[in-house]
Amino acid sequence: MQRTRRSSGQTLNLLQSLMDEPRKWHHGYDLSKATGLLSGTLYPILMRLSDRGFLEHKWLPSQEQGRPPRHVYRLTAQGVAHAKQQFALCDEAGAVSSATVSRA
Amino acid sequence: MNRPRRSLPVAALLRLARRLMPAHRREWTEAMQVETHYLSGASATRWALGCLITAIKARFAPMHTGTFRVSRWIMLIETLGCFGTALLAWFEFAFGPSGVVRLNGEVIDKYFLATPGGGYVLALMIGFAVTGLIAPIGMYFGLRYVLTGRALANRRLGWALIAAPVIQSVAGSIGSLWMGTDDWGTGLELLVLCALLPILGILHLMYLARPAAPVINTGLAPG
Repeated sequence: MQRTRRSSGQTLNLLQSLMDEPRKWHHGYDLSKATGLLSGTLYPILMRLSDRGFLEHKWLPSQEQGRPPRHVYRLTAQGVAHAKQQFALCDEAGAVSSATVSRA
Repeated sequence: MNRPRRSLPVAALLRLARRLMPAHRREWTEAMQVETHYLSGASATRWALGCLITAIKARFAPMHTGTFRVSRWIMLIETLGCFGTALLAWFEFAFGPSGVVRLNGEVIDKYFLATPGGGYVLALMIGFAVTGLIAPIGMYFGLRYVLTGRALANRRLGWALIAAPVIQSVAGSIGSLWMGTDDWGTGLELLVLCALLPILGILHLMYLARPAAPVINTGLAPG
């Protein structure tokens, strides 16, 4: 049987931030502030999510005068499903570890 | 469009990141770089450093396969490294001026049987001439992999080749302890060059003979 792999805490953190407002476009610095992830950690995760079709991205003109367009991101429908699956897995794992602790 | 000037360290880091990032990730480099226009001071420098780290990760990512499968060119280097020295040592031991094939009754009587522990030394010499076959055989299979892509599929032969230097090393160590000498082919260099490296080479060749695991796309991001 094929097992679903659990994402890392950093990926889950990012998925949570993106899921807070799933229809909104987020730029990198926004996500970095929201998750506390530095750019060297954040962007490789964004790239992986995008490679797997969980993330869509586009260039959005800046609302600030004289500033360049920004690359913005949001989860695809597949990405939203994946995020929910990952959160469910976390809940299950949490329930299992709680049960283990209470048994001990 | 007027873009704010970047500081020198930020510009240098971004330039390096741009160079290192694989071509198909260029859009992502641009994406990260643009953000520095919205940052200043230490934040911009930290961000640019992150760009560089991302570029390095992206550069190394395709190299990380999680398996020990290597290209044939790498195997050529590995074969020479693992079996080359052991092959020379074995050849010298077997066919050199004092090699096993040149032993005769007179030499055996005079230099081995007449000296204390000489019989054991003789047995070890003959043993090494046999167990050292791991080197030429390993070299053959390594070069065959380089040329044809066929590894060592015969697992019995593989384990026999691995067992031989292990037995030889143990026997040498016992002899050294028995005779109170450390000059019986049990030095660390010799063990590494004539036993450990050939064993690792054989293990790798056996591993390469296993069918590659199918790539299962779980649709999930690793890590």
